[in-house]
Amino acid sequence: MSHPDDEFLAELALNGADPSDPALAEATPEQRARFDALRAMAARLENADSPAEPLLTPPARVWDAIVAELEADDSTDTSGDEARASVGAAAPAEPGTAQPSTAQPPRATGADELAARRSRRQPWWTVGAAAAAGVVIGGVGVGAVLMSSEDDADLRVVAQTTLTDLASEAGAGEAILEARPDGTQVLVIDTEFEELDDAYLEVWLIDESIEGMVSLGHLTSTTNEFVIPAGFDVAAFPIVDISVEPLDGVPTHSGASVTRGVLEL
Amino acid sequence: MALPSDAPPEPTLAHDFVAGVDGALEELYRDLSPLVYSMAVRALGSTADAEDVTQQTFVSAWRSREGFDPDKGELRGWVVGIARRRIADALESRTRERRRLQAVADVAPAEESGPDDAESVLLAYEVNALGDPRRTIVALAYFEGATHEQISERLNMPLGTVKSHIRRALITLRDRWEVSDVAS
Repeated sequence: MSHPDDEFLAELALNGADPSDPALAEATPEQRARFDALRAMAARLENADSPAEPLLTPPARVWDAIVAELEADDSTDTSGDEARASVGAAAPAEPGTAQPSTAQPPRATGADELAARRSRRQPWWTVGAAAAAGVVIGGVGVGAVLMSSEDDADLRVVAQTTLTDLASEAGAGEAILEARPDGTQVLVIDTEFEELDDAYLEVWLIDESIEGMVSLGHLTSTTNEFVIPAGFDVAAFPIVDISVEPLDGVPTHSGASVTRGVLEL
Repeated sequence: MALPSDAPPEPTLAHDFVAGVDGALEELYRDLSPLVYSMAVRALGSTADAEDVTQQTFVSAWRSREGFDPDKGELRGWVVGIARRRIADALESRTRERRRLQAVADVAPAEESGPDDAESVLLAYEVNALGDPRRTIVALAYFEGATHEQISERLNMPLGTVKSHIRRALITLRDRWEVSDVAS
């Protein structure tokens, strides 16, 4: 869990402070524990030997052995050492093959069906993360504006970022987060694009670990401003992402990101 | 950047996994078996032992999945915690075996690897999972030894932004590390 003072403690840890540092004189035991953990993490990074080697993939027989062991569980009805649950018909299928599951309870329709459809689709983040790896982000923090113009009645720029075309790495306009006088935040997308016949463009905000995301809506020639829902914290979802969505009715991200930028908040 | 380009599993996988949904273990295995196996290979120095640890880790995760709360913890950290325990068990039984052998013949202990090697695999994985730009910044700073000023220049990013990314990355890494530490 992150705490507001973590940034301060991280700065101390990165500067090589030890627990006797005067800056920690009045720290609570809980703050000291977090500082110690940050300091230990910094030491692990300092001692990291080399660039990462690519991960190794275990041979296929490991998966086969797992399936065999869990199927054996099922047939002998073992119980005991760990909080053991019946594997039932849910014993995993061979990778890449469908397995008829006779004893499987019938899938409910609705949300479950949606989940099943979603799982058949390529995970969006495999494409997104790979694309993001090549992007150098030109985010510009303008937090100072936020603090100095509290009484300004006009639209205030909360943050903005240059958008990058993921295919060419070229600049592709800007995304600007503005606050209206009533406090409503609006994301304005300023980018050139062509409307597609068999697909549409969708605007997303994604968190930095590329795990969570929220759709703001469709980008069209007449709609390029998106109201941020009240109470939604853009700082937690700072990546602005525009994707090409096929007209397939599937509500999740297609994985085909075309443009990205990161808001500095 | 020679970093592996794996991404963390989807959040919904954790719920499917705990519910025992068909295919959830397979998906988890596809996501995490390279990490678990690589940690074990580095720690144990033996692919055969690493295969055993990998098998034990996923079998154990599936059997005890009801003990995992997807709303409180992170599935990856939980599985990595199981893997760390299995690796520690394997190292311990190896030490016992060595002592037994030494009692018979004077065999010099071959000290070539250990849990620290598994941690360096995990560290590289977690750095990668930070996503860009933090992944690149941390890799430049710690794997390539670049100064913050050099990184600022290379990425055409203000120095303050570089420093802020490193601070936030350190906090994220600490949080992720604690998940699997608590689990072990």
